[in-house]
Amino acid sequence: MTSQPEAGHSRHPTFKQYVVVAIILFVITAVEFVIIFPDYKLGPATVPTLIILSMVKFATVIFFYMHLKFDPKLLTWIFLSGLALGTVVTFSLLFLFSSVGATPQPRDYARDNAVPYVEHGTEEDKPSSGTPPETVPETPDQSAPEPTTGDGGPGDTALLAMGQEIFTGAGGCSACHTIEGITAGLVGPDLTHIGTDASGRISGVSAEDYLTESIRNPEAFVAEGVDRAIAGLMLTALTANLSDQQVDGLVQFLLAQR
Amino acid sequence: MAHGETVHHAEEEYTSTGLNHRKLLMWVFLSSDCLFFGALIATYMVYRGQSVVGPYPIDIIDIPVTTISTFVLLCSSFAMVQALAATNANNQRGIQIWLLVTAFMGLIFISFQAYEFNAFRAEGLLISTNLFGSTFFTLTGFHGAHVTLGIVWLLGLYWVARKGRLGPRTALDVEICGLYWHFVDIVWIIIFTLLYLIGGFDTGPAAIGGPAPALMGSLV
Ligand code: HEC
Repeated sequence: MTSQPEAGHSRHPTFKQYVVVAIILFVITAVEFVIIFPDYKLGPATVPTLIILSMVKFATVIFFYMHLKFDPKLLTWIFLSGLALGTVVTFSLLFLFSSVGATPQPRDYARDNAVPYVEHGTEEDKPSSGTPPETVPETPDQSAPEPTTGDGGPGDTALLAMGQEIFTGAGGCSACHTIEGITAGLVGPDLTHIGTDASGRISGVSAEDYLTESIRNPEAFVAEGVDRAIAGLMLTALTANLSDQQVDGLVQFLLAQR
Repeated sequence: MAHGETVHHAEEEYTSTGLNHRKLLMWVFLSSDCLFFGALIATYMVYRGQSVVGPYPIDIIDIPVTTISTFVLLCSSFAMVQALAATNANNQRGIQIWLLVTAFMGLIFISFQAYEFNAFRAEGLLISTNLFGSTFFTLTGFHGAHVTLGIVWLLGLYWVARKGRLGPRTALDVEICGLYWHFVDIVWIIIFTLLYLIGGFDTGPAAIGGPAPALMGSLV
């Protein structure tokens, strides 16, 4: 026996401490899950919260399960220096590959060249999207009686154009919704044929009312049997700032998507 | 085995650092493994949102299922510390049982991963499909390889334990294996957070930082 410190065999946590550590890890993981599923609940604070929680878990495991807390400090320094180097490498790479000064920016390039993802089994649905755009003459037909009167009725082309502008622009809808040939969002349902689909969504509710409600109050209900109709992703707050006229424009624009 | 040995350990050789060399080596290795995984994680993050064809993460990542397998891996770390505690207490039955439980939970985790990889393949995501596939499979695959190696190690220890050769004198054998096992666990904690909790909602590049920069943009 030497008089050395008890290297590697210093105190170990007690059984009770181990159980407490296990419970802490479990609870944190459960909290993380609840925060993000089925949708992000903390808004902009979500990502920072998740990162802090995982750092707490990380520290708990290395200091208790790997008993760095009870071992000579040298081991902690050895491990932390590797960890720090790894972190520096990670952030350096992120920085070097990030868009500082690059033209075109890699992500812009990717966006411009991206192909919307068609899920498996949708091949059969193709015929419907293959139908010629008969709707094009239809819309002007309806609008013939009162063109650009701005009364908000169906066929108001100015309103419709405004709807399209909001949809593809400031409204942010295009980020989540696909309308073939116009936008390619992949989060929410495909709206390519929403003009025809909308009337069948809820029996007894007209297409117009259904769409108005879907835009005004998206959290109130979720269409059944629709791909990517994930509750809670489309937030009411998203459309709260739209005026009634703007919502009308969106509805008219969507009704024209047949 | 004498009772007096259950707490203090004989045959502690002299080293200049005062630390056991094998344990020191393990920590140096784990330290360097941080760099290895750091590079793979960086690669994933760099190419995040740059795939130009699907499937994209949101199309296939299954967060509830992966949360379950994460729980299993956390449980296995608890079993591992129990195995070490049993070794220090010279509880032969405990050693064997906890080593087996740890290895078994590792196996469940790996099965979940095999299931996940297979489901991804069925959805059309291969390692060569897009940047997401390449970086995802490389990172999680190497983690899975670490887990697999850990399982083999644990089963080897179980074999030794069956012969009654594990106890307070050889507790370091179990402890070092435990360090490796817990390390695999903490790497998963990071992967789970970045690739699943945060990255699992990534859509195609059209939407990254687009629909809700506040949600996803904060870590691109
Ligand atoms: C964050 C992504 C996101 C954004 C942005 C978004 N939506 Fe949605 N949208 C969804 C999701 C997810 C659903 C399905 C669940 C639901 O109804 O809440 C949906 C559903 C809908 C529906 C019903 C679809 C159907 O098939 O029944 C309509 C109509 C709609 N959105 C229109 C819009 C309009 C107009 C905008 C722009 C103001 C918009 N969305 C912005 C994600 C989004």
